[in-house]
Amino acid sequence: MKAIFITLLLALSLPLGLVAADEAHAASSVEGKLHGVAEQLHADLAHAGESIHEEEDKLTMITEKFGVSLPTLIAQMVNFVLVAFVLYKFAVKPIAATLDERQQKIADGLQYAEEMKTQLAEAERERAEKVKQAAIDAQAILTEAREQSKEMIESKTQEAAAQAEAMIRKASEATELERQKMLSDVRQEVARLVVATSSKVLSRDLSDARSKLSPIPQPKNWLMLAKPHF
Amino acid sequence: MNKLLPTVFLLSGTASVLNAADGVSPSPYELTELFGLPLTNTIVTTWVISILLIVGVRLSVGTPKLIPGKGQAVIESLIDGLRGLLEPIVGKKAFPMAFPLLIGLFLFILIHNWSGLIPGVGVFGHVEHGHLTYWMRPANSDLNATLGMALIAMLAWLVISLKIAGPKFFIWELFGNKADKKETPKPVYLMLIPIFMMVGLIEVVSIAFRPVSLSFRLFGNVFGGENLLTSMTGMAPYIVPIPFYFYEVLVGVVQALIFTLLVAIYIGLMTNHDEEHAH
Repeated sequence: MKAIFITLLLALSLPLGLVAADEAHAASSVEGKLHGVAEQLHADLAHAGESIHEEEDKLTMITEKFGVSLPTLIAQMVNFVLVAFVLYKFAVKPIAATLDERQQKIADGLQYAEEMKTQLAEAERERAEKVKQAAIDAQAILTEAREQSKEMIESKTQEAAAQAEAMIRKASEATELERQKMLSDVRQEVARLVVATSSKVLSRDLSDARSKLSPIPQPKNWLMLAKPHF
Repeated sequence: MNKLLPTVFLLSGTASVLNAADGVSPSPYELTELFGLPLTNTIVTTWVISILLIVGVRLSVGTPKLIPGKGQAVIESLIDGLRGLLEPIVGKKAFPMAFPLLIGLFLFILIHNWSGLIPGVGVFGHVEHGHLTYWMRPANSDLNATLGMALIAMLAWLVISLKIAGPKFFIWELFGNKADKKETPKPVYLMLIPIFMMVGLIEVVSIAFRPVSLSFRLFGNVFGGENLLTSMTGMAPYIVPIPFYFYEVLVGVVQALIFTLLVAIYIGLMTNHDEEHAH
């Protein structure tokens, strides 16, 4: 211990001695330069030697006063190293590892959250695009439906008109047929009546005419004469 | 219990008065010898407080969990705070090597600084030749302890610096010409070489004295604190010393931090250069 301190003091006094030597060197004249420096150095060395002895005494006094001794010093060094080692090995290191692990987990979590945020934004963007596309599609479908419905209405209207016309035509035809039939029935009825009337007239006339022997007229001509005028 | 309390008060009062009269001894007392080696009161305190520290930390930490308990949270915040404080100083390269030393220094110094505040430390003892030889003395009020830590710190500084920075950079950092060769004229550059060599020598002396400054600073503060508390307790044993106890709590933290930060800065001065240049 003393040796260390003496070495330290020597090392400290060396640059001071050199500085003093430099100052002496600057002060001396050119002729007596070498001689002066040698004398100065000699004096400085002697002074330094005395100083070292004084410092050594002071150092001994300090170490004795503060109770510095090599065995105690080594014991305290060993104590510190042991405590530092045990603390680091069994407390600091596991906690530092836990801290790092937690830090890693937080970093991972934040990164995951960031990724999720990006994915959410992406999904939101996709959804917006899809909604937009759906709106466009819906608009197109609506337009198409409107056009189709318009066409359908037109076609149905036309169809209905055609059907109505057909129905009217059929109705006219049926009416015509009915009329024809009715006319036919009327003719038949008239003919029957004519025949009946004629037969009655004729039967009465015959009884009258037999006596007169006059010829009976042809029914065909009667019918033609009896054609009604509507 | 009724008899014990007055006995404790009487003993502590007597001890305080005796201590105050003598003042705190600058050197530790040798209590006995163990295997031929001296067993001083500071070594006893170091052992007891260190064991308490280790057991306390282990109990509070237990098995570290991701969701910490109260004890773990305290130690975690301490470790995390020191890590955040020391890593930028030491540099990322040297930090894994330096951190065990630095946190060991901080915890050890802090707890042993505070150990002087524990009732009984520096109080209980036996009267020998008219003065009290107390059995427990805070570790850092013994120059052996502070010098021992400082020497270990400087040894670690040397090892870490040589390992991280390399011997070439280590020598260049101390004695090398720091002038820019491209921008400095050659004669000036050559003239600067001996100047930087001299600066290097002064730097070596400064480095050699670092353990002395580190150890005496810590020792002086803790020893001074012990004297202050002893004097105040001697003058007025109750209530009056309380503010000084709080003051010593603060001094304990500050001195532990200063010691640790200075060692970190010494390491960082050698190892943190590349990263600075990289920035």
